[in-house]
Amino acid sequence: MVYISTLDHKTYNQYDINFSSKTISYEIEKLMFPSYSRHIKCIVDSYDVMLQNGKWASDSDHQNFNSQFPIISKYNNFNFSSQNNFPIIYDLNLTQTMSVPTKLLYSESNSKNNTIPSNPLYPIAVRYISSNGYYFIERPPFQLEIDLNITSISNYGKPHFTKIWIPWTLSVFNPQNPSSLSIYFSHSSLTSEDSQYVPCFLPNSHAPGNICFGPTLMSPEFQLSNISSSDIKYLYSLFFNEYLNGGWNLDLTPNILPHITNIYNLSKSDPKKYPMMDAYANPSQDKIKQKCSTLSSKTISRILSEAFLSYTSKDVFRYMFLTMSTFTLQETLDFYNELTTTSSGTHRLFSFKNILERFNKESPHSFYNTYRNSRSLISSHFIRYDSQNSTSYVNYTPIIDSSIIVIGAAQSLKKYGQSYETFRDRLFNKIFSAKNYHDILSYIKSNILSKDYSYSENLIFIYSMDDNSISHVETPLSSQDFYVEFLQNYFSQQIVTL
Amino acid sequence: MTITIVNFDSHISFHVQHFSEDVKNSYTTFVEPSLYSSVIADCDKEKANTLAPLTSLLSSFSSASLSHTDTGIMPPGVLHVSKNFVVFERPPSYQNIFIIPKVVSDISNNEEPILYRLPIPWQLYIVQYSSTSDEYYTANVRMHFMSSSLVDVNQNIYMAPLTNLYTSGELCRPMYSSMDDIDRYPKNISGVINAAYDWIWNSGANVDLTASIVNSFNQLKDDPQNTILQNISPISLAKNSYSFNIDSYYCSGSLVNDIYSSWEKIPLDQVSLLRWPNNSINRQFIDDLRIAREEHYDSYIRDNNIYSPDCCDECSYYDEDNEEYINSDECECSCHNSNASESSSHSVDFYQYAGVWPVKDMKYIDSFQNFIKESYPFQNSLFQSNVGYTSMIDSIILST
Repeated sequence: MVYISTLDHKTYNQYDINFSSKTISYEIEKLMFPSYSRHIKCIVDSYDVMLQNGKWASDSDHQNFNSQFPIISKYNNFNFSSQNNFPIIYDLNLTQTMSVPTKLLYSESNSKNNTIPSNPLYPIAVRYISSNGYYFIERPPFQLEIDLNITSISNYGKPHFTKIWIPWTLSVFNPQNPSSLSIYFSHSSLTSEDSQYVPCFLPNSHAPGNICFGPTLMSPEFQLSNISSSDIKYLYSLFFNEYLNGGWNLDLTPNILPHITNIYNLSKSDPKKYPMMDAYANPSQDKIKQKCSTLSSKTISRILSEAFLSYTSKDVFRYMFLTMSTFTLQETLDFYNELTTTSSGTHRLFSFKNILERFNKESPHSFYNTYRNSRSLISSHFIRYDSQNSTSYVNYTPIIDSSIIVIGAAQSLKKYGQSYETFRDRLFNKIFSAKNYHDILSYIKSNILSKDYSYSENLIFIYSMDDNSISHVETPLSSQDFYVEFLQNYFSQQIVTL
Repeated sequence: MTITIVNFDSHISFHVQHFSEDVKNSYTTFVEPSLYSSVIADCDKEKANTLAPLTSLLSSFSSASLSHTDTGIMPPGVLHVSKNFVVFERPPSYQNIFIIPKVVSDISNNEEPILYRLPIPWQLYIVQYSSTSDEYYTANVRMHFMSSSLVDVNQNIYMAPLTNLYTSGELCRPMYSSMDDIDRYPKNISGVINAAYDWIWNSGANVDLTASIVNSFNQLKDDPQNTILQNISPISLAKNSYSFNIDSYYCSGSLVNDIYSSWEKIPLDQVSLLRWPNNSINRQFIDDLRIAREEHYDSYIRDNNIYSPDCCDECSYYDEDNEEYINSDECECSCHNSNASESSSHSVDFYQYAGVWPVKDMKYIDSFQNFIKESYPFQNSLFQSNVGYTSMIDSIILST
């Protein structure tokens, strides 16, 4: 039973809870919405990882659980496999926070509806706005200067600049959460729902086109509380330019590498039918030398011959940038046109309709500020419990629900003679090869959670499960505080999915 | 109807409660926003429709709120979408204008329109749309010319000297013969944009409304840079001299023909460089003049020591039928005569004095705000409130 009471404690209402499987739900406003119920997931599901066959994996797990969740601990005998036996997690307070005469509210509403925001002009081409607040913004092709060192770290020495054409881009973001930016490439402007797009495959992008901003978001200019969410032009410019102005690294390379490799393999499929893809597979070294004179011929030769043999992340990107630097604008567009007409099992193409469906699914209905949604409240509640306890194990407990896994894992594998990158790549490879969600969970349980948790710092993995495929990875973070902050930020930016 | 909402922990969330027809006497309580939005998302259509006004009310407080349906694929150039308005621009292009240069009462059934292919500079469209549940319809359109793409809300915009447009830039809404003319557009923002564009360019034209052409002529007739007007023959000008007073608002079909014929000869790449006239503040320029007279004429007379037309008893007579004094046009008193002979220059002097002539520059933001005022003339009088939403809430919190 969840008790919902008014703030003044004069009236109390009781709301039945329905238990089904491993979800807790409650009903609100039965009178008004007799068929409506709302599910709170998260906490109960997250225990599943610590449980094996409905029992605690270890006594220490159990103790930690009890210390972290005293409200629930009195139910420590509950059995996850049975129904109708879940604990109370929340006391939901039905509060009359404040009241105003409705006529004032209407007046303000009219005023809001019919006044112009201070900066109402959109960026160059807003082509679509979804009812859940996503903006689909198109930009014509432009040239981009790229440092072939890829990463901005200075110890790589002399920069090697070259220019490539970026084709038509379609950027998708929600101004309530502009770091949700996804970018797609196309050879032409959007004309219909059947228009085809290739997800961005530049560094620091995820396979479905999401852009990873990482710690950049912590810098002052990205403090969203200082930026009006109605200023689409500024937000778009800020995030789009921040990404394309470089400052990249190779953190997400394993995520994007299969995509780039696949494009390379496809490019060799039919030289006559796909001349520009053939040009991509067989670039002219002389042309490349002209476009990037600072790079030695030997280095160019090595990159061209070995990039897709050794699959070194950096060289694969260098191959891609060097080759594309030899393309004119028209050739670049032709390349993307050919790319969107090919098909392959692992080659990711999206029609505009697919993209719409994806973002509609991510955010069913939210015209309000997602920083204040119930999920963020739940997660902050959860995290608050965590952060009050100094036990690192609990702080890095995986948080799992139907779509997201967050894991703190052992960066200190260096102690075991493995580099951070090696461990990460090995993990990614394992994840890529996993067939489904349960395989991944199983792997995580057996290979990560069993490690020495006292070293579980500095590496956080977050996986979003989208039809059993990995779609979102974030790594690494540097400290426990950062982890907590990151989780808070991450969850606060998720839109309620019920 | 009462809606109750949950407030998690100490987070101050959203609102709602009493949503009744008796708005004036009801109170609204605040509730958690995402719960409400989730509730709406899960409602069947009938319930969602029932709650649509409330949803609209709540969403008006969210800067992210636009509409409850997707916009559809919009053309490039959309500059702003809000709950009741959409703004878009178009680059210079040729437009085919089909016009029957007669007033509607003189048009016979088999009248063939004349086609002009006019080079059109940058255009700005401000569209007011209305909604019925989740379906959107174009309600009113304003169109302006621009010298370039709109990059700043304070950028100047100009009057399009075309038939069917008031001098404010607002379109006189077309008459449609069937529902198909309305229903063929998607019922979303994309459809609103398509309909607005068609209303301006593809709904035919006659010379019922020529005020923007006349006013344009009067603003620019002495401007040597305006090659459109400079190329019109003196004979045509002489025939239409009645249109060239500051308060004229109608011209003949022949003058429209002459202007369009001259306009056609301007190269497309030159058309945005031409000087275009300024829009009126009110829907019609004659309303700007009328308001100026009402507000400033007395002070003008006083400040300039000018005799009024009813300067002496001889100047007026009592009309028993209408029970009022009428100024006599035939008065021969010295004061009246001197005024009458200078009435034209006096009117120009007065309108200059009142600040309505020459017509002032119009900014995009000003036109948009004027449009809002005209579209919702009573919005501020229904429920007077001089406080912003946030300060309103703050004051309530403080008072408790």
